Amino acid sequence: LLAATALVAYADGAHIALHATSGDYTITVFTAPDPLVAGPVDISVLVQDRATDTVLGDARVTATLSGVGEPLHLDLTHVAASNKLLLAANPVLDAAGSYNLQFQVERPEAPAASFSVTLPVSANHRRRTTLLFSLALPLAAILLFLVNQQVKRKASLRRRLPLS
Amino acid sequence: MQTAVTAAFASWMIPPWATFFLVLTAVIYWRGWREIRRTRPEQFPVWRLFCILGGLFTLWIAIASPLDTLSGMLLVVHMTQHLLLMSVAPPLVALSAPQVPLLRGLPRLWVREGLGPFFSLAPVHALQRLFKSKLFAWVAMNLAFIAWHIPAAYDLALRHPQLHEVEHACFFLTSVLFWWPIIEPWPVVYKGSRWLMLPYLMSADIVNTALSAFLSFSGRVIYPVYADAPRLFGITALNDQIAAGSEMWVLGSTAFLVPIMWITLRMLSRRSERRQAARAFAASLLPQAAPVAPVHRSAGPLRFDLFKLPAAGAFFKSRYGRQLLQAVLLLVAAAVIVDGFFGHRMGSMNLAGIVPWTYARALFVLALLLVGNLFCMSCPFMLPRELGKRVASMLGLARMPWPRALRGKWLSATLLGLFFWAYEALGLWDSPLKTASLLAAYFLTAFAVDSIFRGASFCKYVCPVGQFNFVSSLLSPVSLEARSQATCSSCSTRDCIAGNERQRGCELDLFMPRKSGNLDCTLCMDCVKACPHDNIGLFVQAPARELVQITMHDPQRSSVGRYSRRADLALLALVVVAAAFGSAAVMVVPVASLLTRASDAMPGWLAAMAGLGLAAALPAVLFGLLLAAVWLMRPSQSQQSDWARGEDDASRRAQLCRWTLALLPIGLGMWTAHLSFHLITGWNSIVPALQQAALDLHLRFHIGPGGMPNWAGEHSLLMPDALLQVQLVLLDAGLLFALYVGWRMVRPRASLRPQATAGPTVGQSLVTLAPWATVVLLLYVAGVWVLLEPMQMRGMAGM
Repeated sequence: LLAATALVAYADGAHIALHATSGDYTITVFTAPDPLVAGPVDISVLVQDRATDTVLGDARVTATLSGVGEPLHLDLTHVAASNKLLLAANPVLDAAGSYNLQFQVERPEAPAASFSVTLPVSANHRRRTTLLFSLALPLAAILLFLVNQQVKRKASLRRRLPLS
Repeated sequence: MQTAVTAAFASWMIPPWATFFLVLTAVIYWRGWREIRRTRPEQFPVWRLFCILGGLFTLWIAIASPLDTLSGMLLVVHMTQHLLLMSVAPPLVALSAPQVPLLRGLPRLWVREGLGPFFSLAPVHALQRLFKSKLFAWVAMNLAFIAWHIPAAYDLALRHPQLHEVEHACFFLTSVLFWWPIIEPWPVVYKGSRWLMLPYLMSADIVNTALSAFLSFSGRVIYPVYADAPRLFGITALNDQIAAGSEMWVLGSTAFLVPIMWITLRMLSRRSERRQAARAFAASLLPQAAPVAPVHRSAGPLRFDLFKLPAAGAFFKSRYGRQLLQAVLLLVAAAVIVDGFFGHRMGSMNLAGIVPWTYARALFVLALLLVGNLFCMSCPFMLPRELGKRVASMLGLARMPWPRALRGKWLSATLLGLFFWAYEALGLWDSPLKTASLLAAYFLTAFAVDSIFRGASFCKYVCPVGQFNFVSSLLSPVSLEARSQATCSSCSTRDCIAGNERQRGCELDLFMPRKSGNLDCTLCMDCVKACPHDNIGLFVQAPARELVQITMHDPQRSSVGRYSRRADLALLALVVVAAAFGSAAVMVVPVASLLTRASDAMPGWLAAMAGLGLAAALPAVLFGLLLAAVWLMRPSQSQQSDWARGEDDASRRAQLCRWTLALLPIGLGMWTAHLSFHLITGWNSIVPALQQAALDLHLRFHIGPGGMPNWAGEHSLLMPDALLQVQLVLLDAGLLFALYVGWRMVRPRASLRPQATAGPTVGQSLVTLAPWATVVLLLYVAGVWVLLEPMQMRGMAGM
C-alpha cells in the first residue's frame, strides 16, 4: 500500500512555454499536457510586474491561436485556471501541427503589451497511456491470482501425496 | 507573498488516490495494532500508533499538500518535499514496526489464502534477503539520491509528471530500506554489531553533505527549469538554490547525526550490552529472520455486527429512526417536484434535473456497494404509502393478496427495462417537468398498490428502483441475519415475520431463521424491532458473498427460494447489466450522433418504437451471448457431481441463471463508473441549483452572497485524468469481481471432493471458463471504449 501511495503521488506543474518581458509586464506561459497533444489543452499565464515581480491579479489577458485550422480567440480567466495565480483557457486543439499563440495583456490605466509563442502540438497518445494503465491493472491482478491458485494447488497436492 | 500562498492553497485539490491509500493504510495498521496489543502490549505501545500516523501524514504533506503546487517554481520547497520523503516519513514508518500490524489488520482470509501462498515462493524469499541487506539498502538510497539530483534527470522529472512520481517513489522506498536496519523494527533481527551502523550513517551523511555543498557553492543555477521559472517572493533562482542546498545540508545531516548519537549512547550503556548479546542469540536461532505471517487461532468468518456500534445501533433500532430518514428524503422529493413543476425549464439548472440524476442515483449506488441498501431504508415513497395503508385498513381495504401470476420478478424486470427506456426516450435528465411528473406518479402508484394489496406488494413486485436495489444488493457488504440459530429454534412466537401488538413483522415475507442474503430486503428493520430476543444483527460480510455462495451451495432462502432456479431474477440481473452499458453508451458522442441521425430519418412514433426495440434488444443480445457461452462451457463431470453432491440444480437452465447473476459485478462496475462521472463533475451544482430554485420560486430566503446563482463556479471535483482513472478502476474492480465469481464457479469444491482426487488444473479451469469470460471481457472492452469517448454535452438542449 505504501508503495502504491508513492507511485500515485500528485503530479507537479506544467511545461513553461514562454517566459518573456514586454512593456511593464513579465509573463510566463504554461501549457499542459506536456508534451502538447491534440485534444483539450490548458494554456495558463502568469502576469507579473516587470520591476517588482509582483503578481498582477487584475490583468486581463486575451489570446489568438492560429496556424492550424481556423483562428481561435481566447479569453483567459482565473476561474479556468487550476492554479489561481494564473489566468487560463482550455481550448480544444483539433489537429497536430505548429500553432502560433498571440497574447494581449491589459490593465486599467496602464499600457497594453503583446507576446507571442509557437506551440508544437503532437498527435494524441495520452489516452493510450491511460488505457494501458487501465488494462495493466486487472491483467496484473489476474496473473497474481493465477500464480496464487497454482501455488495453492501444488501445496494441496503435496499434502495429499503419501510420504514415500 | 500572501497572494502566492493564497493562490497555492486555492489551486490545491486533494489528490484522491494518494489520500485514499494513505487513509486505508492507517486504518489497516490501526486494526492490526489493536489486535496485536492484546498479546504484546509492551512491544506495541501507543507511540507506535502515533509514529505510523505521523509517517503517513508526513508522506501526505510531501506528495499531496499545497507544497506540491509551489515546488515547481521554488527549489527550496521542492527540497522540503524530498527531505520529508527521505528523512522524516521513512524513520517514522520504521519506528511503527508496521509489518505485523499491517498483516494482522487485513482480513484473515486475505492473508491466509491470498498472501500466504506467496510467502512460500523462492523469489519472494530472495527478494526479502536482498531488501534486508544493509549494503543493498545503503547503495540503493544513495544511488537514488545522487542519480535523481543529476540536472538532466531532475529536469526530466519536473517536465514529466509520471516520472516525477517515480522519483518520489524511489526516494521514499529506498529510504525505507535504508532506515530499516537502523531502527530494526520488530520482528526483524539483523546479524552483526550495531557499531556498524555508525559508518553506515556517517558515510550517507558525507554523500548528503557533498551534494548540499555543491548546490550551495556552485555559483550558478544547476537546474535549468528553475532558471526559467517565474520568481516568487523576490528570491532569485541562485538564492533559491543556495537556500535549498543549506536546508538539505543542515536538516539532512541532523537526520543522520541524531541516530548516530542515539546508537552510540545505547551501545555504551551496560544494559545495551546485555540486549546486544540477547539479540545475537536470537539471530543465531532465527537465521532467516524474515517476518512471518501471523498464525491466527480462529479462522471463523468475519461477523461484525453494525448494531453493536453505539450510535448506529440505537438509531437503526429506534422506533422513529427510519421514519426520520424517510421524512428527510420526502422533503427533498417534495422540493424536487415543486421546482420541477414551477422552477427553471432547463434540467441542469433545476433541482429536478440535478438531485435525482446527478446526486441520488450515484450516491445510492455507491452506498449499495459500500454500506447497503440505504435507498429502500430511507425510501421517500414509504410515508405516503403508510398513510394509504392506514386509510385503506380503516375502510377494510388493503387485504387482497398480490395476484399469484404476478409474483416473481417478471413484471418488475419489465418495468425496470421500461424505466431505463423512458429515461432516454423522454429525456428525463433534461426535462424537470417530466421528472417531477414521474416522481408524483411514483407516489400515487405506491399509494394505490399498497392501499389495495396487503403487505409490501409495491416494494416486492412493482417498484423498479427497488428491484434495481435488490439485485444490486447481492454485492452488498452488509446483511440482516439472526445472531443465533439456536435462539430462533427455541422461539415459538416468530414475531420477526408474524409481528406483535406493538410492531408488525416483515412485510416482504422474509423469515429470519431461513433468510440468507439481501434479495427483497429493504433494511426496514421491522424484524429487528419485532424480535423479542434481540436476536437480529446487521452483519458485515465480504462483498459479493451471495454470488460466491451460489457457486458453492445455493441454499433454499425464505420467500425467494434458490437463486439458481429463479429465471425471473436472472432476467432482472440481465436488464441491470445491459442497461449499465446501454445507458452509458447513449451519452457518448459517436453513439448519440448515430441515434440522432437514425431518429431524424424516421417519424417520431417510429423512432420511439425503434428506441423501445433497441432497449429490449440489448438484454436479448446479452442473453444470446450468455446462452452460447454456457452451451460451449459444458460443465465437467466433476463439477456436475459437485453440484449434485451439494443438492443443487445442475440443469442447463440453472447454470444459465448462475452465470447471468455472475455478470452483476461488471454491470455494477459500469453503473458506478458512469454515475460517479456525473457526481464528480457536478458535485457542487447543488449550491447554484438551490439558489436558482429560491430565485425562480420567489422564496424570501437567500443562499450565499447576494443569493444569485453562480453557475460559473461549478467545477469538477477531480482533474480529467484522475476522473478517468477513477472510472476505469471502478470498471476494473467490476471485471475482477465478475471473473472471480466465474472462477469459483468452475473450480471444484474441496469440501465435497474425495481426498484422492486432485481436481482440474488451473489451465483446465481457465479453458472451461473461457467462453463466459469472453462475454465479460467483451462487456469490459465496451465499457472502456464508452469511458474513453467524450461525453455528449447533454442537458444544454433547453437553452
